[in-house]
Formats: sequence, C-alpha cells, structure tokens
Amino acid sequence: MTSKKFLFVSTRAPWQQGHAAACADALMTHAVFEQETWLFLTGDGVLQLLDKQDGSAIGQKTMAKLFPALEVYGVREVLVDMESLESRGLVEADLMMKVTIAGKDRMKALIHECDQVLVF
Amino acid sequence: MSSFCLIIQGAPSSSASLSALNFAKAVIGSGHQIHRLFFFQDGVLNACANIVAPQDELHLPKAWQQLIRSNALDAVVCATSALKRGIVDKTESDRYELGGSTMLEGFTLSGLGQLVEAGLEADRVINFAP
Repeated sequence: MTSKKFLFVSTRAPWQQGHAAACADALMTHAVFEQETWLFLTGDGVLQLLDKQDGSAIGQKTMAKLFPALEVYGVREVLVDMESLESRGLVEADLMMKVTIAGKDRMKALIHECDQVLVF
Repeated sequence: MSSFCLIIQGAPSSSASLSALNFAKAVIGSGHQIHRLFFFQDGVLNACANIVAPQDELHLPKAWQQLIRSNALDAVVCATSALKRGIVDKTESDRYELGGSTMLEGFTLSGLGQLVEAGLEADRVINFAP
C-alpha cells in the first residue's frame, strides 16, 4: 500500500460532541493502514491529555486511555501546543504522558511537510 | 484540476452540512473533482431517509442525494457512526432485525478504511465539523 503523511489536528475537549474520539478513531485507522501519522493537540484539544481523567463519572469511556497506545499503533509523534497549555494555566506535569510541547513554528512546519491535514 | 475528499461531520440541522454541500457544488462547478464524500459522526444523518423538512426549508438529505446522483459521486457513510444513530441499509437492518432500511439510495455504508483510501487518492481532505 502506498503511504502518505497525515497530520491530525485535534482542537476539542475530550467529551465535546465526540469530536476528540472521532479524531482518535480516524488517526488510529490511518496508522493501522501503515500511513505516517502525527497528532497535534491544540486549543481545548490539549485537555484530552490531562492526567487522572475518569469518564465513568459521567457514564462515558475514558478516551485518554488510548494515548499511551498510539506509539504501538505506529503514530510518529504526539505534539501539544505550548500556547494552548499556557493559556489554560497548564504545565507539562499536568499531562498524563511524555509528549512534545511545540510552538506554532513546529506546527507550521508539520502542516507544510504533511500531504494531508485533517482538523477535528 | 484538483480532487477533493470531503468529510461531513455535521447533521442536516447544522451549518457544517450546508457549507459542505455548497463547497461540493463549487468544487464541481469549478471543474474540479470530488473523489469521495465521507459522512462521519452526526454527518451520517444526512443519509437518513426518514427526515421530513418544512416546505420552506432546504431538505439537506435530498439535496445531497440529488448532488450525488447527478454527478455519480461516491458517498460513503461510516457504518459505526450510522448504526449508533439508527441509519441502516437493508443488510444491516436484517442483521440486527430492525424495521428495514433507513438510508437514502445513493449512499453506501462502509468503514474508516475508505477515508484512508480517499486521503491517498485525493489532493485535499477537508473536514466540515459543527
């Protein structure tokens, strides 16, 4: 199968109309089909990586459990927008796992580098 | 000429679906190509056969169906999203012993693999989300 570079930009909070889960589903499917994939969390999307989430309190699945598995799926890198973290009073230690904290320049470079950019 | 894949994530009641429809018409009208329409999440409701729109309002599912028919477009409805929202074709209706197809003709149930394929073939994938 031919391969392209896909950047997934996830911009919504974890349980906001299922957008975050839809992005994760699409991301993992592309990775399973051996495409080169990156995930960039920006805006309220950075909240998806907050540590100690528990969806059971509102009768929902905890989608954050997916994140540690993304590397196994072959996702190249998970990046978090530095400005979005800072504007929400968050620091790296608030996140559930080690990710790349990146600025707008890195995002611009990734958008330029990837063949397709899917914004959720 | 460029080819596009459109992801439609908005229900017929959302401006996302209307924007996607207008964009699709503009793509075709400009001599470009729609490689695939991919109806995802609440967007699968655009394939619902049971929607009745008020007479003075645009009937988006029928508008989509007309665009799909007149341009022989490939219109894929995400099966997982569809089943969760009561959109089934005859095969799925029989499988789950439901009351018959609730999906408009012209749309096809399939999986996210079709989105991957579209991303490989099309020049651009554009997501219309509410």
